[in-house]
Amino acid sequence: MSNWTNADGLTIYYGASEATPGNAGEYHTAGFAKPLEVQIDLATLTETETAVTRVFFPKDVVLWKVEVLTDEVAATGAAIDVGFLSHEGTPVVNDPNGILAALPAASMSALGETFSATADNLGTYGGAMIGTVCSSGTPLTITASRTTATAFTTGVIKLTLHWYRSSVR
Amino acid sequence: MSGFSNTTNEHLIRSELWSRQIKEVFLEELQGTRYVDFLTDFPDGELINIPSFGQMEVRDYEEGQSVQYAAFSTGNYQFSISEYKSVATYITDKNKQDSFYSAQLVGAFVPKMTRAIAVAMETDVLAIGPSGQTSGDLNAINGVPHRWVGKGSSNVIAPSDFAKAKLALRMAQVPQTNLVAIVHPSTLFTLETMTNLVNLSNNPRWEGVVRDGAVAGMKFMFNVFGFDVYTSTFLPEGISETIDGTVVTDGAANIFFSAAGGDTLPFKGLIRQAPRVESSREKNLQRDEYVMTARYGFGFYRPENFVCVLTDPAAAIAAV
Repeated sequence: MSNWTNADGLTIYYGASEATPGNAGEYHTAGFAKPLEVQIDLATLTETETAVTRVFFPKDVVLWKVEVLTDEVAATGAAIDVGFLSHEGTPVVNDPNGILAALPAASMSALGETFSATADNLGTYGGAMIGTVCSSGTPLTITASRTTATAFTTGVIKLTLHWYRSSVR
Repeated sequence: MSGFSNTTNEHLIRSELWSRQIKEVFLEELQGTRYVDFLTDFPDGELINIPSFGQMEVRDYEEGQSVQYAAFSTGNYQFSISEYKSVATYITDKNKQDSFYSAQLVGAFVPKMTRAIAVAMETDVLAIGPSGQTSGDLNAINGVPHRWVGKGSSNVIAPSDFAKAKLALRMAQVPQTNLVAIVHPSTLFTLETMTNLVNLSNNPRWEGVVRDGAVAGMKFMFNVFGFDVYTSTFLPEGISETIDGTVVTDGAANIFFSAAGGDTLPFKGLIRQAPRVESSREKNLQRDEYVMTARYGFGFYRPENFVCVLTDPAAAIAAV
């Protein structure tokens, strides 16, 4: 993927990378909660936390629920982290496992397998930012990485981040 | 027997005369501000934000599924007024009364002051890009460097550097019109004296560069890979760094960009206060004072529309 981030903080995509279909977006829903879905190809992950989509998570909203749906079985890799990174020169929010903390391949080992976490039920792999106001005054980049040097050879998950804007916090 | 000769009548000989003519120094033509896109909506304050829009992503869609909504990313370019310059001088009454040249002297004050500020602005403009890039780095955009050391022998320019600069601009989607190169005079010297150009064995009529040189006035007589080439001695010099393993010492910057105009130019600028001269009578000190001030700023707006090739002027001169 050929891109370049300029001094404005804007990433510019060149050539075929400009035409690459997006892997995230928000669905039109009624009600207070909004779902932001991100499709993550596990085989592309490295041990370095890297943005997995060009779509940002909104600022100053509550991440109240996270869902993972396995759309392609994960193979060979150990586990993944998913988190947030804010945009300042020195990021105010830098929590690379704030959404999913070492979610193991065993939880993504069957088609249709799901994992979910809420603030009152983080489970073993729910990140610390679930149930909090995810804010630094700027939108957040969604990052992901694998936890060991062993790469995933296959695996695709749909990660849904449910958020709402609170009037009291 | 006696008569007039220099040896007997030295009183009648003016041993030293002072001409009415004043010798001026040669001044280089200034051109840098032609390539600055001057802001028009920054009437007050010290900092202006110019938001930038990114690109929209397409998405694969499945029948019966909800479409996905997403914003495109945005950025923010910030520009500030950074420079506040002054030039000032005075002439005392006694000097004005006694000096044979006082009229010409006072008449030269304003042009000299204006030139001093204009030169400062020229130097600032031509330094925007080289200092705005990351030194010691290729500054690659879309896989092509935007800063490197000249590929000629001993770090001088090579024609391929012009082609590579054009490639860098093209890969960064820069408009391929009005391509401009401003090069150090030693770079011009390298080009004019390239072996194949000055080899007369196949050029018995002394044609081409050998007859006319490469430059007529401020402009090359021909383009190099599409670039209109100008020379300037106001380009940054004394640059020592290592880029991609190549070391250059006391190098000069040669810059390449598209001057397609307006918002596409690589540099933004604002002159909040144009050079303004003020003069006043200082009676306590019995003198006339002249002050010129200017306030302006320049910024590196489009790094993608800019290429810097560092060359070694000393090596270029020594090569021939």
